[in-house]
Amino acid sequence: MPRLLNFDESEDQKLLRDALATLASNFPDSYWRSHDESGEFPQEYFDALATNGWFNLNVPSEYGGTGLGLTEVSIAIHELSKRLGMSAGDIVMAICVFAIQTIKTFAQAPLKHVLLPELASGKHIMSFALTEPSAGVNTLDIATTARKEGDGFVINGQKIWITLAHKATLFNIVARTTPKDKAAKRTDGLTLFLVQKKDLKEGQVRTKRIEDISMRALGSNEVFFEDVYVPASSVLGKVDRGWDVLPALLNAERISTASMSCGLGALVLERAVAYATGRQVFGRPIGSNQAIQFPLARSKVDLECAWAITQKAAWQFDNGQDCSISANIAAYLGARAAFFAADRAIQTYGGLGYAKNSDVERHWRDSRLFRTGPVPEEMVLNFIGQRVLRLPRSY
Amino acid sequence: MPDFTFDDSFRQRVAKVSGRFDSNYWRSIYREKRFPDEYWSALSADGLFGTVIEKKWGGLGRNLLDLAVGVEETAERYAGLASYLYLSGSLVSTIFTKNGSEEQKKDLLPKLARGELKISIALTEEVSGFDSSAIETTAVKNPDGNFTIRGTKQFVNNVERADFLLVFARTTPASQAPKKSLGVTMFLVSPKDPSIRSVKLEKVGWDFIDNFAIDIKDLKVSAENIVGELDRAWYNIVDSFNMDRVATAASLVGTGRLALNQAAEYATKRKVFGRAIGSNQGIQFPMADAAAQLEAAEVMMLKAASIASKGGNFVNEANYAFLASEVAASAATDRAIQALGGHGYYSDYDVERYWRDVRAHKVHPISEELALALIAERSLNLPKSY
Repeated sequence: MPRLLNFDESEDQKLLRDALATLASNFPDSYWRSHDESGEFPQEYFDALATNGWFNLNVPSEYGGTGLGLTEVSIAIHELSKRLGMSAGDIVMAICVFAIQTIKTFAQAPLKHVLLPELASGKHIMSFALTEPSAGVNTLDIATTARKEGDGFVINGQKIWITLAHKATLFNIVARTTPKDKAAKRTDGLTLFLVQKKDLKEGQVRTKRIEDISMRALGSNEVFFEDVYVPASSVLGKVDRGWDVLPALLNAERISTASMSCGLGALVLERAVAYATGRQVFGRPIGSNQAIQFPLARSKVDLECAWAITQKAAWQFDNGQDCSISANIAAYLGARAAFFAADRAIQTYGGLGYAKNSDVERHWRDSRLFRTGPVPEEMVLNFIGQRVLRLPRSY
Repeated sequence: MPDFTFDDSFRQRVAKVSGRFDSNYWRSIYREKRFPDEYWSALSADGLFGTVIEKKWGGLGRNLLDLAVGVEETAERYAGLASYLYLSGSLVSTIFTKNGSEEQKKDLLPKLARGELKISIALTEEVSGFDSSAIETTAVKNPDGNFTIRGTKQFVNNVERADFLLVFARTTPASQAPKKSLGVTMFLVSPKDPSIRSVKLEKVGWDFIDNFAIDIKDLKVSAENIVGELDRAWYNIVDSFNMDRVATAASLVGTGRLALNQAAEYATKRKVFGRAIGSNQGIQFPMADAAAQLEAAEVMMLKAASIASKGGNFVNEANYAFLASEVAASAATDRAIQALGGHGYYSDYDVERYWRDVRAHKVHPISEELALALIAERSLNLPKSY
């Protein structure tokens, strides 16, 4: 019997989307617009997700969770971004991927037992502290150190572009436990630490908000760690072997940002189509003009293809297969598709695209982020050039 | 729920046959502008033209997904768009499977499965272009119940080698049909009939197959040569055309990869200014971008093929796959020429012919513009723009 691929979501997955649509209907555009303006965290939305059990999604059943995988998390992120914009999806990534996915896979048992249920009930906000001023894509050049002291480590260093750090109760900090020149292998020497804010003294973690243009409701920060003591039990994975933990985390992050991009792209496309259908100029809908219509159709194709490869990447991740090529391509194509869809939405809206209360400019600003972070386009092209085309390293 | 479990065995079967025809073979085919008889025979011998023909008619009884994967395989290694021969040689059978009389199925399907018949479609006309309902070739019913066909057709493949042409003709004038999409009928005719005259058309690419304009003057056909229902050709053939779009997407993905693989191999070895040119981002990045687009286009192609194979509505996905793969393959073949520098302009280095071939798909089987208009109308519910 010839076998078939299946792209259809299951009944349960469709119900998941329906339930999220209901939740989303309580948070209209005006809510997101005002939080983007003020830079204030959307606490009511976060609490609604927690109360309705959405942070339970990928918590294993032995910790009281629903026990689902990255596929369902990706669907949730996609649906929420499609209804509400990028910040709404990013919160789910922060909790379900940065925190829960990482902790359930790499944290030591006692921490898992405490944190997974707490995360599920919405008690925590997590920040992933990797990037530094001198270590963006060159991860191995990070300068934050974790010096062995007694049963634990003392962390000192500075991070930058850390989303939600000003609200975080948990940090996943990437630090050097062995200097680069003393590491046995080039990729050895990094360690990931799970740090709880409640365990720290005043001043040991300082955050400085960066005034930026994307996902302003969530906010990005410089973060300074000064003599932060962490017990050995806070190590994620193995000491000096942080590089083993990072691929799973980073691939899951790319699948998540791809889901956000595809969702946001679908949102702006829907708005643009609705506007083009209703707006009459020269006696007919502007959407009947090919110069308006064709770019929107092109966006539709690009977004559908990006989502299809995102689905593939999520499936590979959940089935223990190497998803790095699909995940990187999904993130790259999704970000570009969303950004160009948002640009066409502004154009379709005409002058109105420039008014803040039409929202499309906010989505356009938000969409710009994933072309630069978490991984810039150029690094994805390097990765594809080397991995898929087997071309020599260009840098 | 989404499941990407993949059984590779059919691809491997096609690979065994197709892999025997390497770039040297295809280069000489294109240089001589010769029909690849050996390739056709090899596909025939392995029963591959019967990929989507039911086993009871002597076919392999597989589905569109298998055919698409097989087409991609043969395109990538190393036939490029000559994979069209496998694609069309297999899909033409669906016209008869869906619409043929028992007699026609018995007569044609087993032969098609063995690769013993070549059937070409004669549809487009100078006057109609993509507005197929505007064709002016007529099939007038005679008192004896048979038909007389008069008209001209453009862009007909392989007329000199075909066993049959499938001619689309109006049996009811557009002005008299309830709507303009009704009134057209398909007729199976012999291209060797003296009332058909053909003129070969010189073209940019597709050197493996000849293409013709034909003139039909009072061709008498029996009513038994009607394929499908009278006046309902468009409805009878739409499934086959949508399947063709999906399989074409597969051939474009494969051809794009063929071009990039060859260019990447060159760019890794070729040293200029003391280092491999492939290490220059100006060369590497556009190729990597094209490779990324091809990967995503392939997944969409597999999605369209999967939905079709399950009997679902795949019209939108077929258009997405066709457009995405055409854009990606165009970028890939263009960047492949660029990577080869001056050599890219010369036939010995192969990449120019991939680019020439792929260019056809911006206007065939539908244009990029028409694909966008169809997506805008059907998928986005925007008003018709023409």
